[in-house]
This record gives sequence, structure tokens and C-alpha cells, in this order.
Amino acid sequence: MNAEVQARAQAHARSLLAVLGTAQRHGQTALRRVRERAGLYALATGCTALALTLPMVLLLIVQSVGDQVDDWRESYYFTVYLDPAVDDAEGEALAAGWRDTGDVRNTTLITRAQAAADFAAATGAGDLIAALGENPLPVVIQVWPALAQSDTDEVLALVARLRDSDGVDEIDTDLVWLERANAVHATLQRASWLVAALLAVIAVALVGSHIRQQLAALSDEIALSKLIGATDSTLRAPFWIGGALIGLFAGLLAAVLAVVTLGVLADPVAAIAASYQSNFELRPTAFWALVPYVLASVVIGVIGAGVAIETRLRRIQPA
Amino acid sequence: MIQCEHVSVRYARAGANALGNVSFHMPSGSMGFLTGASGAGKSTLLKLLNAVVQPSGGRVTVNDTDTASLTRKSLPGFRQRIGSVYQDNTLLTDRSVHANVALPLDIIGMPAHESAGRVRAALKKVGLLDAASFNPSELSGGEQQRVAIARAVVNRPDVVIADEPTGNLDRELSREIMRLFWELNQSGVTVLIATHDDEMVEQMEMPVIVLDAGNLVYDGFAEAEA
Ligand SMILES: Nc1ncnc2c1ncn2[C@@H]1O[C@H](COP(=O)(O)OP(=O)(O)OP(=O)(O)O)[C@@H](O)[C@H]1O
Ligand SMILES: [Mg+2]
Repeated sequence: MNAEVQARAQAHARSLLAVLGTAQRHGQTALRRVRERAGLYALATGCTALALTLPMVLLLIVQSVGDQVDDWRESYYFTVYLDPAVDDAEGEALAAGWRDTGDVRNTTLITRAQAAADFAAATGAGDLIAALGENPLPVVIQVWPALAQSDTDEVLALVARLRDSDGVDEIDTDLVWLERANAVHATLQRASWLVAALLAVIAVALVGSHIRQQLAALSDEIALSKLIGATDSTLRAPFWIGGALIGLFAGLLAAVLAVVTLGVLADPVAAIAASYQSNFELRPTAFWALVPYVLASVVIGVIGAGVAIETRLRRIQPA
Repeated sequence: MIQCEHVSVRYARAGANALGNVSFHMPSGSMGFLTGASGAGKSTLLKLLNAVVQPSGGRVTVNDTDTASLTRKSLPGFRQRIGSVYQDNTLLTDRSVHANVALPLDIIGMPAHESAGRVRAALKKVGLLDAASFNPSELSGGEQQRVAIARAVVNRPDVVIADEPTGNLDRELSREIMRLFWELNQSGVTVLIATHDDEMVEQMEMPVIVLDAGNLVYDGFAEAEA
């Protein structure tokens, strides 16, 4: 029994070693071909990297904009002016009631006295209220909608409901800038995905044409290999690996270029934002945040190689 | 074992059949020659045997496998059992003689430390052990042909086919090459050699198949049995 288990474990270990050995051989073949045509590989990698840099930069900028928009959404609130007859205590009760509903994240009460103080501080006309003898300012409730309700329609629905509450006089929504920010974000995102898709196709074509050249240059060797019984997978594997390597190095190079580009742009963009009284900034990107893009680039390389292999390899036959 | 039954080949763009109704049987472990004028169909017949060409009619059987039954999956294994040698040897000039001979072992995934011994043995058999690290372009035509033979036999095939393996060589070298094929046959391999060289065929005293314009006009194997 024990011997049987041991034998099975050994068989598994052997087949694992065989798989690793095969992978190693294919890898060595691929690396030998890279070495033999280092210049061409560098060129293909460089071109692919350049094609990938632009979408990476765009997507990173969109991420920055998206983060900024999220910040804005979080800080968005609308102002509810209560009827002049409502006093501070009644206002507080109203605010507390709204706070308990799901679509409101938070509320803040501004008492009449506070409102007067704010008014005085803002206008310097504190005497005016004092002169009136009685504070004419209403109680105000600031309402932060729940974050899920970033959609302006949902905010408007909430506003409509609150407006019907007893004691509410008027609501100041000031939704325009939220709408604008959302629209800018959506446009940028869509545009950048389009550019990314287009450039991914270009990158696939670049890698594909490089692997195609490789296949043409090696057609004698491939025909001979087929004649002496090489399997398709044996012939394919080094080209798959070659495509993946181009994708990997192009992706890494593009990531470095993208980080550098954002670094160069960060200061001028901050200056522009400041001139519009915005604290927007291009977030510095941690290199690891680009790992998904590098992986996408590897996939692009593999797809490019696959296209070339599937269209070309079968046509090369021994004569 | 090589068997052709009523085999014909018609190339897509040619007018006449390259082969018509060819039948013969070569038992396992036999050796023979394939002769005939230029254009008679010798190369075509050999290409049927390693399934580079498929018959338009009839049946080709090698090592008990009907070549028409081969699939993309089974073709490589079939070809691994057949060694092929050509007139214009197909050595790769981007690697050493040793690496050229190792190719059939590489493609079946034999690790280098295992294949090295067999490559050396094959090179020793053809008398080129000292040239192992050379580039094929540094060898003479006869030496290159011997490397091609070493490559054809390194994976111990059941059948070796050779298309004018001595076509570019002088008499002395041709005799040397033929001796290698003969030794190979002595170790049990079935060997079929296409050649123009009638003088050599006579000297070797072995069964001959003669083609003329795609037709089999003489079958030395049938005669030998009769
Ligand atoms: N790929 C091909 N396409 C069309 N016709 C071909 C092809 N290969 C050979 N042929 C024709 O088939 C016939 C037989 O050719 P094959 O090469 O088999 O002759 P061969 O006996 O080997 O001649 P040689 O002694 O000159 O090598 C010839 O008429 C040739 O023109
Ligand atoms: Mg010929």
C-alpha cells in the first residue's frame, strides 16, 4: 500500500519534472531566438511600448479625474431653508429624522444665531440684523446625500421629497457643477477606453507582424522540423513565449514612460487647476498600480503571436 | 515495412499523373533502390512515404500505418519513425553539426544530457565525431551528407528514405555513403534510396524498383520473392 502511494507520488513528480523540462526547453529556444535577433526584438518591443504608453497615460489621468470627482461627490451637499416659523429645536428634530433615512448620509443644522453670525462675518453687516431687533434668518439644514446617489436624478428625487416635508421653505441644490464633473469624467473615460482599444489593436498588429517576420525567417527550420516529426505545440510554444516577452518588456517600458510622463505633467496641471481655484492634481502613480496594464500588455503580446502563428505556421510545410 | 497498392499521384497544377497505379511491397529490414529517368516520379514516391504528399488514389502503408489515416495529431509521431535524407542536405547553418544531429531528439523533448551520447554515437558511425562543434558550412559536400545521415538515424527510425543522397558526390564518396546505408540496413532498418546512379545500383546487388513516366516498370522485390 505504502509502496503504491510512493510509486504514484514518484510518477507525479516525474510528470511534473517533464512538464517543467518542456517549458524550460521552449523558453530556451525562445531566448536563443531573441538573442539571435536582439535588434529586431528591441525594435518591436520599443514600438509596442510607445503604442501602449499613450493609453496608459490617458487611463491614469482618468483615474486621477475620477478620484477628484469622487472627492467632490463626497463633499456635495444641498442647503434646505426652513420656514421662518420653525425654531432651532424643531429644525434639529427634522434634521435628525432625515438622517435616519437611507438616502441621506449626514445633516448639519445651522441655527438662526449661527446663520446671523455667518452673515455678519461674510458681509460685515452684522449691525443690520441687530438693527432689525429680531433675527430674520431661517434655520438651515445642510444635507449630504448618500454616496450611492451620485446621479443627479436621484439627488433631485431626494430634494423633491424633502421639499414636501412640513417646515421646508426652499432648497438650494446647486447641482450644475456636479453634473459637469460627472459629464467630464464620463467623456474622458469613454474616450480613453476607445484610444486604449485602438492602440491595443495596433500593438497586437505590431507584435503579430514581428512574429510573422520571425516565422518567415525560420521557415526552413520549421519545414525541416515538421519533416522530422515536430509537433505543432513544440513549434508554436517558442513563438508564444516570444510574443509574451515582447508584451512583457513593452508593458514595463510603457509603464515607466507613463509614470515619467505623469511626473512631468503634474506641476503644470496643478498650476492650471490652481488658477481655476481647484485643488485637482495628477496623483503620483505607484509603479505596482500599473501591474494590471503590464499584464494586459503580456496578453496583447500573446494574442499578437497567436494571430501570426495561426495564420502562418500551417502554411509552412516540407516540400 | 513499405507498401504501395495501386497508388497514383496527380499534382494540382500538372497535366498528367506524376504516379499511376504503382504497387510494390518492401518487407521490414530490407534495402533497395528506386531508379528511373528524371521526372519519372522517384521523389514523388518518397514523399508519399513520409506523408509530405498524399496519394490521389490507392493506399500507402508505412510501418503498418495507412498514410491517409494520419491526422494532425498522429502525423508527427509517424514521421519520427522515418529518417529522411535529401540530395541538397537540409542542414541548418545557424548551429553546430552536433546541434543539427540533435534536432530529431530535441523535438521529441529529450534532454540535452541524454541526447548528447546518442548524437556522438551517430556522428562516430559516420566518422565525423571530430567535426561535432563545426558549423555545417565548414564541411565538404560529402561530410555534410554524412551529417544529414547521422541526423536521419539518431532517433533510431524503422525506415530511412534517401532522395539522391550521392547526387553531388564523386564515386569514392558515393561508395562511402552507400556503405553507411548498408550498415544501417544490417542493424535492421528498412532503407529505400532513389538514385540516378545505375552503376552503383548494379554494384550493390540489391532489389531495384524502376519507374518510367510515373509507372512502375520493374519490381525487384516481387522478382526476389518469386
Ligand atoms: N509540386 C509539384 N507540382 C506539380 N508537379 C510536380 C510537383 N513535383 C513534381 N511534379 C511533377 O511530377 C513529375 C515527377 O516528379 P518527381 O520530382 O517525382 O520526379 P523525379 O523522378 O524525382 O525526377 P528527378 O530525377 O529529376 O528528381 C514531374 O513531371 C514533375 O514535373
Ligand atoms: Mg527527384
